[in-house]
Amino acid sequence: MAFSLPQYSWRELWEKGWSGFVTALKGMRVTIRYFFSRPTTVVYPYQRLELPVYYRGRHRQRVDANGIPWCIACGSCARACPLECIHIEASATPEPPDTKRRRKLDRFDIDLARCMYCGLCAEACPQDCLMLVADYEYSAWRPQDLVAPLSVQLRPEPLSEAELRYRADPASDPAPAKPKPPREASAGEGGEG
Amino acid sequence: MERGPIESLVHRLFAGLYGIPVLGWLIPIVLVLGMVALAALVLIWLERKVSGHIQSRRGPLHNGPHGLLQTVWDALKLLVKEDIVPSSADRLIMLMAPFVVFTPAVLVYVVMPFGKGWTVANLNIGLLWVVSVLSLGPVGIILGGWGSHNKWSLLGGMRSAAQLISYEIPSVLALGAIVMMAGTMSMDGLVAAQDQYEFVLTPPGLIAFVVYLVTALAELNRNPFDLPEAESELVAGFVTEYSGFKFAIFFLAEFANLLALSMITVTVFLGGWQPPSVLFFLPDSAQLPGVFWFAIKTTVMVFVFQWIKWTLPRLRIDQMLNVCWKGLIPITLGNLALACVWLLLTEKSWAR
Repeated sequence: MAFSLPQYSWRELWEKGWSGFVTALKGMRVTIRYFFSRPTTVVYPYQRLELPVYYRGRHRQRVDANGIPWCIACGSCARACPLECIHIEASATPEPPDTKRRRKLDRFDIDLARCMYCGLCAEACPQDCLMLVADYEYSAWRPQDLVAPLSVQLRPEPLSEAELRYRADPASDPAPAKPKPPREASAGEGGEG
Repeated sequence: MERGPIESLVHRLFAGLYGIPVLGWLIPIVLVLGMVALAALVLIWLERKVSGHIQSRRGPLHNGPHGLLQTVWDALKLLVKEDIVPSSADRLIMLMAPFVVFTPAVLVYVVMPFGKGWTVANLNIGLLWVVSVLSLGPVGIILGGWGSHNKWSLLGGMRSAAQLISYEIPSVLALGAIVMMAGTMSMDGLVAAQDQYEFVLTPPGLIAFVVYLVTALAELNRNPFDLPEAESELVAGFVTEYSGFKFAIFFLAEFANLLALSMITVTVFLGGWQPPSVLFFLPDSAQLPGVFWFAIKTTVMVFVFQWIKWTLPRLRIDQMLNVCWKGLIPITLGNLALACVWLLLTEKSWAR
């Protein structure tokens, strides 16, 4: 015999069999509860999660009133980047226009395909210019199309109240992510996708 | 009455051409085949929906209302896929297997009482026909497992043989108690015997019902008895090497079997097309036609089968055989004795 089966008394046999039956019913009670509860999935294109302000999505650069980024081309972000996906080229400006900047940005590319969204660049920024915002919808067909130039990084709109609050005190936890009500009356019924 | 030539031909086709009622057979066959194919599509959709909601997902959503057309597109995709046969496979056996599985699954519907008088053939051995035809299915599974020339397939086929041969016995013994109580094997007779109360409401009937549910799960190769195609152990068991149309036929047969066994359970234990006896207070004017009751009960049974499938984990092969030989067979044998006692105690049997 390769293995021997355990021998049970009648009493043990009954108890094992009965407990198996009862636990199966208990399991079925659990699953039927889940069946009638709301699904936890979010039907993404029709429904979106409300993301917290500290979500680290793509990069944005804050701009002044003239639309010029606050960046002083110091290169701290590029040095802080563990993956070296930030490429900065700058030239000296002999006469600063209206700011005290002495260097002018020529190129500020971020390779989003390489980035791991750690946010170290934003932490390193002395000007509080570079930041990661809750935007994650920028897919492309080819990885080289994911290199974001400066022009797509500009953020003209001011910081929202929640962002300001978070920057003032990162420990103040904003509301956790929860699904927004669907855009349409019934999610996913129209075969739009 | 004078008949025109076409009218006369139609009449003869119905009544019998050389003793064969061509249309009288053809129309039910086409209806049953169509119903099976359509029901399988809906059942696959239902399966995915039920599993989704049990796992807190949503299931198919986008094709048609609530994803109803999803299985149609899936079926079309399967039909246009390349049919791959392994070079070392036995081509004929591998080709035969899906049809050997599918044919019994459809043949069962011949004796099914869908409604009052809605039976294709009211055999007086209807239940025996069901049992014997359903036991042909594993032959096809073994053929598929052998013909594929694949270790996973062969193991799946062998497990199917072991499983089906074991579980036929308690299944038939459970049905035997019901046959004793009804005094008939005809499906219509079984329904008629439940005009007062369903067999599931009697003590031997309840035990037989529970045992039959377990054996039906085993015969359907569904969780917790899905050993012939146990995904984590055998890739896909006997369907490992199948693709395209043949795979679709296997899939269709699986769901045709699911529907058939639900219908058998409804007919034998739950009163068939009659309204449930617990609703006796309903006035006659509020009664639905028998077909609707049959459809409602069948849908509930299908849901129960799927509910069980998505709840219970798979048994090990030795556990599965132990449950059958050491658990179900003694229970059903005892249940036969209980049915005798029950027959002696109830007045119905005194009257007979």
